[in-house]
This record gives sequence, structure tokens and C-alpha cells, in this order.
Amino acid sequence: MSTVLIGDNGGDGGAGTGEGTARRREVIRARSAPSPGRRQLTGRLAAGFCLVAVDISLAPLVGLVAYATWRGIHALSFDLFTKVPTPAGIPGGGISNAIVGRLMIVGLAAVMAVPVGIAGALFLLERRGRIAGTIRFTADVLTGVPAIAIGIFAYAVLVEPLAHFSALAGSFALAGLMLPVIIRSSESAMRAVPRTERAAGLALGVRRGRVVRSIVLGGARAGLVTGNLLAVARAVGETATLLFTRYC
Amino acid sequence: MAPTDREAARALGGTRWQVVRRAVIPGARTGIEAAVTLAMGRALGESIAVAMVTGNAYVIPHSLLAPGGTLGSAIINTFGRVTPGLDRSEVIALVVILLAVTALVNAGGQVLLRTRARAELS
Repeated sequence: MSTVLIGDNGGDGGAGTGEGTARRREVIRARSAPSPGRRQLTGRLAAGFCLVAVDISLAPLVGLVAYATWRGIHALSFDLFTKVPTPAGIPGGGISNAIVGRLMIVGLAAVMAVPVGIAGALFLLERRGRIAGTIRFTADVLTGVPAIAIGIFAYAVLVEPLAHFSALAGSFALAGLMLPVIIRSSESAMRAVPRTERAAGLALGVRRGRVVRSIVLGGARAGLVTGNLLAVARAVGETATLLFTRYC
Repeated sequence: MAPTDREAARALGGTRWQVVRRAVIPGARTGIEAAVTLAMGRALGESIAVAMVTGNAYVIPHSLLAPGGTLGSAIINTFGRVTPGLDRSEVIALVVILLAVTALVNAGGQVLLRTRARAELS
């Protein structure tokens, strides 16, 4: 069943010409002409299958939200967000310390990662060639690296030499986790600024640094904010990294 | 995939499913492969979710219903109670293995993504 068909035109790109097209048309006619009824049936079956697949992929999401709400909603109260935990066994209390701590750690991580990430993205934008390509590839691979690996790295770099767990080490680990995401999303945001606008700035005699600041960063502001917020969101939901830098 | 491929298949009289099967899927093939590879890389590196439910037994389970463990869950579960020194180095060695495996899978996925981008440019 592996006859060459439409879409399978390898490297020659675009529409096949002459003989190739004629041959493909032959093949498609030969396959599709005989029984329209059967084609329709196959189409319906496939559509049904796709519908089932969509349901299956939505089920975990809906199930998760519904279950968490059902089991957890009665435990939500104002105190949960404003009080610190009571000792085990004593009712009441909240998790305000965890919320504040989380905000501090993520905030510090963002302070560390965002400037470096945007500067790195600028480098990728301005530089072409092998170095930039390698960095881009590495950043992409790092995006998918398990969080515990980054956590252990922070442990080796900060926790062990300083001999105790710390919020700083936690922030460092989260910054490492955010960095590749920030670099790649910032780069694509800045790439969306039209080249002609940069060229226009340079043509007016504006210095390069000023062009970057006003035109590239200014023009990409919305995209930069979105990308960086996504990175922060990822850090907020992270648990594995902090296991090695903060507990005890 | 190129939208013209889809239009061409439609123009040749393909039903909706035939268009998908013969034009959309082949055209998006590398992209799909890349997506699957990257998703596998994610799953390989996942530790917490696995550590919570597998039971963390240090055996090769003989049944899908028996407790087992993965690299990630082993790291999570042992790191907290190991003593400094050789023990800790062993856990870190596990991390190195995990890192190497996931980085390799991810790199493969990225290469696939890049081949796709190049094919679309030409």
C-alpha cells in the first residue's frame, strides 16, 4: 500500500509536474472510482474513531478538574490562604507560609532568569551561524530535560558547598528550568518584529543598541511578556526541582 | 504540511477521510513523529507522578499489576534518606543516566522537528 501519492513528494517541493502528476492521478482514480458507498462508509467510520479519540484525550482533563473540585472544594476557606499551619492533629490553620515562600522563590528565579534569557535571545537574534544554531538546539533539548536533573544540579552547585538547603538554591534551580523556555519564546517574539522596521531605525542613523532597545524590545513587548509569563507559570507548578534544594 | 496538498487531494475527488489519510497524514508525518518523540522524552523524565503510584519496589515486576519503580521514582525516593558520600554519589549517577537517556530522546525529537522545517522551506 505504499504507492507514491500526493503529499509524498519528498524534496522536490510544490506540485509535482507532468508525468508524476499524471501517475498519481491514475492511482487515485483507480482507488477511489469503484465504490463511492464504501468510501463514504470508511469516512464515517474514521470520523467516529476520531470522535472517540477526542473523548479519550479529554477524559483525563475533565476527570481531573471534576474530581479535584468534588473532593477539595469543602476544604477551601479564607483561613487556608491567610494562616500558617497548626501542629499536626490540631484543626484549623492554613498554608500562607507556603504561598508566600513559593512567590518569593519564583520571583527570585524570574529575576535571575529573565534578563539572562532575554539577552541570550537577543544574541540568537543578532548572530547567525553555528554557535547560534548550537545554542538554540541545546536550549530546545534542555526544555524537555527532567526537572529532577536540574534539581540535583542545583543541589551539587549550591546546597552542598553551602552545607544547607535554601530558598536561594530553589530559585537557582527554577531559574535553570525557566531559562531555555524564556530564551526560545523571547527569540520567536523578537523575530516577529519586521526586519524592515529595524532597517528603518538603522537607516535613520540610530545606534544599534538603541534600535534593539526601542524597536526590537519595544515591538516584541507583548510577545515577551507572554513568553516569560509562561515560563513563570511552569516554575510555579514545579515540584521535583525543589525537592533537592529546599526540604529538611 | 502544505495547504495546497490538501486542496489538491480534495480536487481529485477524495472524500474527507481520503484527504486526511493520503495527504494530511503523510505531509505531517515528520511533525507527528517529532511530537511523539518529544512527548516520550517528557514521560521518560517524569518522576513525581510515577513515584506517587508505582510503589517503588526495586524489582523488575512480572505483572503490570505488581509494584515497580522507574529511574525517576527511585531518585525521588532515595535521595532524601541517603547519607553523604558514596550513597549520594550513587543517586547522582542515576540522575546522570536519566539525563543522558532523556537528552538523547529529546535531541532526536528536535532533529526530527528541524528536518520538517527544512523540508517545508525547500
